[in-house]
Amino acid sequence: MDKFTERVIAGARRLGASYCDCRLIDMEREDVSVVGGAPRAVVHAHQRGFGVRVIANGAWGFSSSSVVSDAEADHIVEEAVDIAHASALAKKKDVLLAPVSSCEDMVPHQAEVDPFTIADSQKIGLLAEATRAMMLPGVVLARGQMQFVKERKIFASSEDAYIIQDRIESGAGISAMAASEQGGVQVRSYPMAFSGDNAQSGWEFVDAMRLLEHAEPTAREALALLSAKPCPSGFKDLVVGSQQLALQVHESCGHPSELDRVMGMEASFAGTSFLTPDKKGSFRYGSDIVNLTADCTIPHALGGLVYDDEGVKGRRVYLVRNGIFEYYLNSRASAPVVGEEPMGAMRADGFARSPIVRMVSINLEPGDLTFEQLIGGVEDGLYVDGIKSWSIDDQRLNFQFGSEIAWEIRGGKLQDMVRNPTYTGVTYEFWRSCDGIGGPGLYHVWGVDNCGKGEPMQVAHVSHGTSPARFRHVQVGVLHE
Amino acid sequence: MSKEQLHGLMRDALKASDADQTEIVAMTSSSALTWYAENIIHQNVAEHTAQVQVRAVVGKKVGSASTTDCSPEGLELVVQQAAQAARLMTDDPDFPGLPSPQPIATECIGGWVAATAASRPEERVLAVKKVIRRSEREGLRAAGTYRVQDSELAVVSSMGVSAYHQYTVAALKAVVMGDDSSGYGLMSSADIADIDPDAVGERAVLTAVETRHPVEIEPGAFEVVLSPFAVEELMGMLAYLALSARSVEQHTCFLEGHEGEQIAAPIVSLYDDGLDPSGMPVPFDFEGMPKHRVDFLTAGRGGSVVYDSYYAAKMGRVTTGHSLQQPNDMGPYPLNIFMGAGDSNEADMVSHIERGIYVTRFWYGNPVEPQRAVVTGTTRDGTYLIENGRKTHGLRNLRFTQGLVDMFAHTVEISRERAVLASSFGIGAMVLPSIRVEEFQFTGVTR
Repeated sequence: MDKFTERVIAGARRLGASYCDCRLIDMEREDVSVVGGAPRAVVHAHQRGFGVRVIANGAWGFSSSSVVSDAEADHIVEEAVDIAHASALAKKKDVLLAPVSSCEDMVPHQAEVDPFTIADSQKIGLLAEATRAMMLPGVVLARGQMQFVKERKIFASSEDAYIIQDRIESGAGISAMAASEQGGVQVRSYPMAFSGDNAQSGWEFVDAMRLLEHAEPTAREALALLSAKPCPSGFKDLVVGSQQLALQVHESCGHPSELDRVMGMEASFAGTSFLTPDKKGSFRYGSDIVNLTADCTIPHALGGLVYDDEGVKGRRVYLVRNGIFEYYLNSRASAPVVGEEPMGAMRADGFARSPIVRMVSINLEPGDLTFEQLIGGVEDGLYVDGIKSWSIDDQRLNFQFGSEIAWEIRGGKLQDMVRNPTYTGVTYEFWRSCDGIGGPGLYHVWGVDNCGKGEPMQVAHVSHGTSPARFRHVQVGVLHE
Repeated sequence: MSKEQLHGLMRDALKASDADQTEIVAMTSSSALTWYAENIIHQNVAEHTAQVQVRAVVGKKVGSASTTDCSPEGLELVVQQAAQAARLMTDDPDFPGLPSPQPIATECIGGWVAATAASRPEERVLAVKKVIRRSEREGLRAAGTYRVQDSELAVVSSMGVSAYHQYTVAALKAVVMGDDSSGYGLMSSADIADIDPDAVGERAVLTAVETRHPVEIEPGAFEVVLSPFAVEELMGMLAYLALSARSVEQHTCFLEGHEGEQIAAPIVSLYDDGLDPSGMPVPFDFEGMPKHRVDFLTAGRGGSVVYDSYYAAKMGRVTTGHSLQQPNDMGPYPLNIFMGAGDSNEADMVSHIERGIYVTRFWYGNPVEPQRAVVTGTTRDGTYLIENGRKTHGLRNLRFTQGLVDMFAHTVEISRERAVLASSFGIGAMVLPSIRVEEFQFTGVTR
């Protein structure tokens, strides 16, 4: 243990804490943004600080600071213990933690080429060229962005854990907005909307995206959408592309299987969950072919980790196996309540926030169909992809999603392009209607760096492995006037 | 840190810059939050953070860097990093240079209350216990947060900008749940003495009790009364979609080309005013530019949008003092939205409806068709059926898919009383009334 974390742990013990952990984090971040061939922003950010979590008098306390000094360590420990004693004024029972084996470890990052060694001019140059290539007549806005993170996190606990983890993340994406004279506006993105795709990798991940190659086709799809058919309204069979399905997994499986949410801890913000403990082991969440895993161990996955922020070693569990709901994303305090073992899902957004149960990599395990077989099995339907809009109720049941693009499917073939596609349903009815999942060749692990949860808000970097999948009799084209 | 200390450090750091122009924005915050659920406190946290953001300009090149290290050495380093970053950039032909200083009205703003800054965790816990006890008496489960924040925002630049504002926020929130119903209460103010935990708990408990055993209703168009909490969710989406110069650039601004036209009901006025002390005022933006009131809708007629210095120069306007921290992808942003008060109250609004719906809150709103400000989301924490001028039953939650411009056109009644709702951004607040709207579109029912 280093002298700083040692001081924190010793201080907490001296003040009567029965448990203490300290995370000392040094993080660099770079964001590059280009619009229409011109750089809009390059931001280098550095954060350093520590967070101290204690149990004293059977209750939690947490405090954090961006000043890393001995005097501040003493102040923060004292405040955390003070807060824990205040919490105890309203406790019903003492906090109990599931045991974990203490360990010392050093975890290296997974990048081949450290993106912070690549010149900003190269990053800007690539995005500038890609966004210029998207500026076809009718395209009014072409954007590109990259984001990189390099972090060293030290976790030390009063249970003798001392873990150093290094992490590098890289991500990028481009998008084109086309506008018609009639006022129509359409956006198409590559490889995914918002911040694009992200992974625990280095510059090689961005390189492999081949942004330049995809720039013009992306813009052409945005232009084509302007004159595409409007989305039909009614019940149709739906083939959901891998990217859109990542959102579906995130909202309708990932969030409802967070055990803190199930236990009501998120009730005042994001709501609760329909996946109550009485459903564990028996509730039919989806059809027999639906297998959903929480997997901390996928190499390079943005949601992957070796140890979580409680020092628990991350592993792979089935949230849903053969369609039956089986396990939760959990923590040391919550897992024993439902008879589970901690699986490595306690994560904090930086040093300043206390860890909460978060997604890791939540995946729809691949099936065995080709894309042609998925489409070929639809007489009258839609193929949708590209994340555009999402909304789901506070139980994670009623959802309504919009996609960037769709195509009609008739007679087992893709037909005309469709604009503004939307679909809606109820989580378990939707997943129960799944009768085909694409094979491993269609599988991709998408990195999502904007998952919000908790109060104060914490943003987590998670991922979703998905192949395209087919769903029967889904309501599409939601009418609103 | 005091204003003098912080400005002193920042001005010293400016001297370390060899860029043509340099701007330093510092935000410090000591905040604490008590988080409760299932009638217990499950997290109780504090954080002491500082963030310094530097923009350095070399010709038409702009570089940025930020740090959490507020020591003189840390600030000097970040200033140099920003200048280095600028030299690596290519020219941004649209960049107008950093803005020159303008007078800032700080004398009547207020916004910082010593008692809030000095509050102790025990005070928060005791307040939360009042909500919990009230809920337990009805066999209900309370969840929520009690947040207290003491923050500073300071801006200095080599152009001579020098701005400082210190403010506090206290906000108590309660979601109270039964087996098949829930209710909501929220109170926020700069002064912790304004927070009444009994009132927050009572409102949430009453709603949860009254909406027990909810019935299902077929979705469709209904006349609705929206509480200020529900209006806040919609205005949050509107701010993101349609009230800024960036929304004009993105073609999602319903005001574009309609200045002066009657596009909403004459009773609807919507504006941003960072100086109005009835909200949570912030006298300047993240470029140190003074806040100006911007009228989006005046008596239903289309108005303008908010600008920062970048978009103002690009679009031939002047900044309205609505820059967020630069650079950012959101563009300028209204942090102090007000809807003009009407002359009614919620009880009267309900009494004017033969068959309709009262909505306490909306949840998870997101755009469906951004250019028409069509958004979707669901109701939560207290949805009532209104029959013959009375709230008669709780309703199962509903999904709505509604154009916000259409909503303004169909707004027929607005309350006199408005709620101050502190922003989740940690700065600013919305001040919003309850409204009665005809033909509000519900498109689904939750299970």
